[in-house]
Amino acid sequence: MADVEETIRRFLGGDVEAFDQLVREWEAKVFNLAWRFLGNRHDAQDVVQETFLSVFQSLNQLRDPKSFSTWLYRITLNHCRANWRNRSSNLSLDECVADKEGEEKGLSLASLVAAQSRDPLETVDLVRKAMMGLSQDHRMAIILKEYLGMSLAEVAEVMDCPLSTAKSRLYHGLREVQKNLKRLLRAGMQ
Amino acid sequence: MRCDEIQERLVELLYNERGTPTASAELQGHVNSCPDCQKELQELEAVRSALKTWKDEPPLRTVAGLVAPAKVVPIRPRFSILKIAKYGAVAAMVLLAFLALSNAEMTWNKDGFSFRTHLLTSPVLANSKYYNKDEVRAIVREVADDSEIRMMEGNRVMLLRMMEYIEQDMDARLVRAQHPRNQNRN
Repeated sequence: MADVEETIRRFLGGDVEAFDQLVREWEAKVFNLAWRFLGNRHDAQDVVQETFLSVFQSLNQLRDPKSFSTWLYRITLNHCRANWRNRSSNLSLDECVADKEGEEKGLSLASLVAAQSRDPLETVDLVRKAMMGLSQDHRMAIILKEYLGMSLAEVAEVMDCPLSTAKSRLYHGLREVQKNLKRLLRAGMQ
Repeated sequence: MRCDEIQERLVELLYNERGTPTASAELQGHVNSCPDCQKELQELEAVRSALKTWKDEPPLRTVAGLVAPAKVVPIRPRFSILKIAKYGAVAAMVLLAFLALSNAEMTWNKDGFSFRTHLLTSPVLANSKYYNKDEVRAIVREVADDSEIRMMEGNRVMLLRMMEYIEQDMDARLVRAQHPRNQNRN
């Protein structure tokens, strides 16, 4: 974290290399957040570029460099939401289920993970589809907690909501993923 | 404790974060004694395991060097003159509004500068330099009396003059009556 603060200070002092360093350190995390939210790599790549453009324009407004990661993820979240809104269409879960690619036959939810070693790509595809069937808030809460390893308090801070709301979004998000996975598995068995 | 009351709190047991308050003994006790809640917790664990199969990937391409221009001008804090003027104008408006609401009174003469406010009071009632209703009535009455006296005095002078004219006229007639020849000659 001290390195990030130092890098930010160097950038604000006019060191262009410092910004490139900041980008190299954080772009993978921003990309994966956007990819899991949007379900599409190319849209995620657009979000990465838009996010770092916003960071470049407004980094001098960041009051506390220690909160850089929270601030960065909040900007990413805003761009993800804008990208999601601007899409001509978003795949619904029904459309995902109708798509036969990546079916997982005859498995319960518990055995899904066990099947990972046999066919990990199909498992990932099911998880991706199940995630895309969530509401934006539930999906974002799961991404922040499960994939970025944030604490519950940090999830609440990025999502700008009370801690209890963050817990509720996580719980209902996980339940929805569970429901969607079961639905996808049933569709695969038919 | 009912199962539906603690559902959302299962995430406290699921994550059991360091540095945050741990799940209460009551919650833990309920889950330990409730097969349904235990099953639900296991299902949530299974969902977490499934989610972990979606691994990170590298970005399609790096944006380092694309966002920042070739040369960066040092960024100064955004306290420009325009911003200061804007805040100054707002502060002046607030001050003027306060002065208006507090009935402020400012004087600046040879004795110096003075400032007074009359918060929540009317300056008419509070300040003795203004006439009250009774004083105004007394002044009007005095003016009216004065006018009446002046009018009566005027009438008296006019009557005296009229008397003088009449006496002079009578004297003139007596003189003409005593010298009729002079009158005929003319």
